[in-house]
Amino acid sequence: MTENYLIDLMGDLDTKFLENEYPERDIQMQKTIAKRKRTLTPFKKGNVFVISDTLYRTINEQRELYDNIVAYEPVSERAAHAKAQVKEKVDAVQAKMKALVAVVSGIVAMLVVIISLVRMVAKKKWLSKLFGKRVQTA
Amino acid sequence: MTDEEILSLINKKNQLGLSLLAEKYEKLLVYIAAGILGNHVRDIEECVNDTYFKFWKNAEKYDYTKASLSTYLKVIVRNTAINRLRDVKRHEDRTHTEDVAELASVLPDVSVNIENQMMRRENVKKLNKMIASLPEKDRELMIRKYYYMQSSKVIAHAMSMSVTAVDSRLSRLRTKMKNEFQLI
Repeated sequence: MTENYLIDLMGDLDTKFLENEYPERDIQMQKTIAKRKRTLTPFKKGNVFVISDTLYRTINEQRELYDNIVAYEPVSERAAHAKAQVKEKVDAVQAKMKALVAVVSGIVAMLVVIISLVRMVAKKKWLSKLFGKRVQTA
Repeated sequence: MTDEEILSLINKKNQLGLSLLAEKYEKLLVYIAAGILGNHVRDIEECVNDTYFKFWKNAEKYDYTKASLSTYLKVIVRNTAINRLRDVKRHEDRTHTEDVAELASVLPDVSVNIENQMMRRENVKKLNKMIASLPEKDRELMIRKYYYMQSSKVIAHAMSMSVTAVDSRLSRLRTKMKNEFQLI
């Protein structure tokens, strides 16, 4: 199917597919860009800097957020809260380290016991061998 | 001013209705015409004026239950702009810069043969079905490219895609269409 035939057929497209707002959206986007460009033009002497609506809204939202979260909590309380959180984390790390040391020392102790047992058995065998040989020679 | 009020003024053949219509929809109509005709201010102006004239003449035929006024105007301006491009093709001696002439050369001169007309009607049905079956993004791509005849660059900017992505997606859609229509 050639492009020109498709363009021609599109002329009779069902109007329900045209109830979208693609061109309107494009125009709106162009307006927004133009508006933003206007607000971003370099500041010249005599020009009055006007904050755009979006920026004004964002600033207000940030301010509200700050008021809700930070402003109602005094600095000393905020510091105590932070300290408690740090302590909690340090405790957790220390506990982990302790557990690790315990496991490692347990394994080392087991190894020592096993090695000494082996050595004992080996020694016994060697002695019996030695005596056995002596008896034979005698 | 609502569309109904504008329409009732135009139906009473009150010129105020036409100025209100122009005030409300001129930007939209110019944008659509410019997408098809390029940066030819005179052609765009004539196309938009033709659109107003056609609407003025046929306002009583408009059924707002079938389509909104903006959609109705979009259809008129699109088809008027396409016809203007066809005129450019017919009158090649007219002085136009290359891009419009190039665009005009891809538009067909539709034959009025009855068999062709019937086949066309069938194909329009198929096309509507196909467009309905497409995902929203692909549908937007198809409509932007082949209805509003926007360039890949404009589409890419509007849909936050890269030009390459737009082109490859359109190429895939064209292949799909080709298979569906089983035409060359």
